[in-house]
Amino acid sequence: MNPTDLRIRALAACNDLLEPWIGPFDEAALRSLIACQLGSGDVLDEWIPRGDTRCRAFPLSPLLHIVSGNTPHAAFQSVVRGLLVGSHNRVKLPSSGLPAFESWIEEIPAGLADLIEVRRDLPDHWLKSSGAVVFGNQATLETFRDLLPRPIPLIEHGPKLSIAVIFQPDEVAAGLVATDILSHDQLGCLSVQTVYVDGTPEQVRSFSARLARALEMARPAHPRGVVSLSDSGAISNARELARFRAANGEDVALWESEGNTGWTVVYDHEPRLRPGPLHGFVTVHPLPSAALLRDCLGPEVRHLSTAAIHPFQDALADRLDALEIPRICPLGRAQKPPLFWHHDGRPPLADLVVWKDRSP
Amino acid sequence: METLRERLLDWMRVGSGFLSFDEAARAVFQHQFERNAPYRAYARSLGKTPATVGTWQQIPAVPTDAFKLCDFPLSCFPTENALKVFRTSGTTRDVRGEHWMSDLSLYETSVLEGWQHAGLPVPTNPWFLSPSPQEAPDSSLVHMLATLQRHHASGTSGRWMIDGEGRIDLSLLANEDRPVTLFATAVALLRCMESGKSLPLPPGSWIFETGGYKGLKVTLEPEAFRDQVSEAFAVPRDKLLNEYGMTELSSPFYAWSNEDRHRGSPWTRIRVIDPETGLKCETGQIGYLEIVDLANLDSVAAIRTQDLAIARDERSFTLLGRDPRALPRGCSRRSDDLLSRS
Repeated sequence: MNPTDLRIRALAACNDLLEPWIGPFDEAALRSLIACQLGSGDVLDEWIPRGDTRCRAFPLSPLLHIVSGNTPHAAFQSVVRGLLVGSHNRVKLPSSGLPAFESWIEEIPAGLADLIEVRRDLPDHWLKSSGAVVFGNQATLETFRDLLPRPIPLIEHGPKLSIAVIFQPDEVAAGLVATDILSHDQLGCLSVQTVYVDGTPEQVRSFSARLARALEMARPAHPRGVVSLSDSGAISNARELARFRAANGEDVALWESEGNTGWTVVYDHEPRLRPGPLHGFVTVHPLPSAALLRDCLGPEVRHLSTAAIHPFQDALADRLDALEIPRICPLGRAQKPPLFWHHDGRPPLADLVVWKDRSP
Repeated sequence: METLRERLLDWMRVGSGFLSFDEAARAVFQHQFERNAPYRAYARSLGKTPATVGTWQQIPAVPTDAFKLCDFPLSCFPTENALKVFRTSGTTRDVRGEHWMSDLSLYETSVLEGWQHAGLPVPTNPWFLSPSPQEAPDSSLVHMLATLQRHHASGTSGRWMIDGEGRIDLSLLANEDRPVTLFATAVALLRCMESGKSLPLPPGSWIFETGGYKGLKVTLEPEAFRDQVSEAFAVPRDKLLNEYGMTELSSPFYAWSNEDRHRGSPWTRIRVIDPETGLKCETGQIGYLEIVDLANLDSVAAIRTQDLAIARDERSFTLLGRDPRALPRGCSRRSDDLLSRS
């Protein structure tokens, strides 16, 4: 059994702990991922004939992971990929920690434990890694662009947002999109912040009311994380602006949780995409025609990560081509990307290796 | 018959005209409810009308962002009749808040009488680390500074030390040997220090500083910032006055740097609200600052700021500014709700 097989076996042994964060998988799926990404399941361990040469993939190692604290998904996915290719992984956690990830590290099999170091600080020598994967906001990305010596490969996952597009605005859709909004308190790049509904303004308003009921029902199953005063303030401010516009005759309507900022739905006829204050706040708009889609949604489109659509059909997904969204998925699955997904359109493993050739 | 504006001016100058703050506040709310259609619609949506509002505490506050909704100017008169419009800071791409004025008497009286109420030293030798009124005609701050200069130092000229291109020139100030009052934004002071242009001011000088640190790459804690200013300009730490004001208001609040609270004039009130519940905070609890400023007769008296504070009494608060945890974090894009003032 070669080293890659051993790591695959060890990862598969953690299946129960990892599945909530990286999706369902088994040994065969991990082997298949390597083969799909690198062209051969053996290329990490031996020289493989490729055309007129032989080649082998070597992991970027040590590999530095800078992970954010909003959801643990990114940490799990990034580190599992690093383990899969055989990197030595240096994981810088947020200063507040990442409990689910740290729990896994405590139970990780010995064969993998040797390949992971986890810290909440950032020792200087970690900056001399062979590659880095950085998750975070713009300031974090800029900080690491400055800190990391060139030319080490830097894989950036900056701030993104996601949307839902609903072509069939029924009760099922309301329930599914509520999950996409509330999971992880809407703090991830895959969290749905805005919903576009294919229908007349009346139908879109009606769906907004339905969504409000769905959020109210779903909220208890999705407890909020730490909501700072400023988080509450931003929600409260956005609510009051919506109330102000609605009171002044704009085609805007507001549904909100009582006595707290637990969930909010704003129907707004104006379709421009804008990031919201998160923590259960969503805006609902009529879906512009395909020809006008990109212009109507505006410049924020370039930050889109995922569109969850309902029903999930290729013909409907094709209607969103103008938005150039890296990932389109079924409604209710926005925050559960599969093992093989291309985060921000990047290859999950191919970015983490360098190639060496032995040519005749 | 004396107009409400005249009654307010009398009240601000000599304390006559109203028996209580509540009486004045109810009169101003009724005036604004009748004349300011966007505000009336908003107040009605909250169930607030002159018939239901009995005290200043019940007057609904509008968020400062509402001043950016140019389709719904928060004005008690047709904006084409405006004598002045103050705008919040921002680039040409930003939407800027607009505060319309039909008359500047209340604004200027509030500045001058407020200065006196606060017991501040008379600035007979002012210098301004700021663009001039000609360069920044829509800046409420610059208008305030010009009002103070006109009233307290009318014989002075050539005291505006930032030109239209943003260049700082302290060469004339460098020749000054009498004590000065240096009026400046925090940003201008920082730029001055970073570019090595700061200079020791003559003994007896003091500094009026206002504004936040928006737009700066460096984020400084206020205490560290004031230490730097004190050293760079050779002004004792307790001779730094901080002004809290905003474009959407007519009345400033002041705190010397050795004081723990900003104080307002008798025609202002403050309340601190828990944004999670919308209820008034308990004593000592941190929340969002709302200000009722009766000098804001032409627009809206009650303003919801985006600053965190602790209420000390009805006219004073400890300013905490923006919550540092509000900084964007993680991989999710979120709305930005910066408070701005020009």
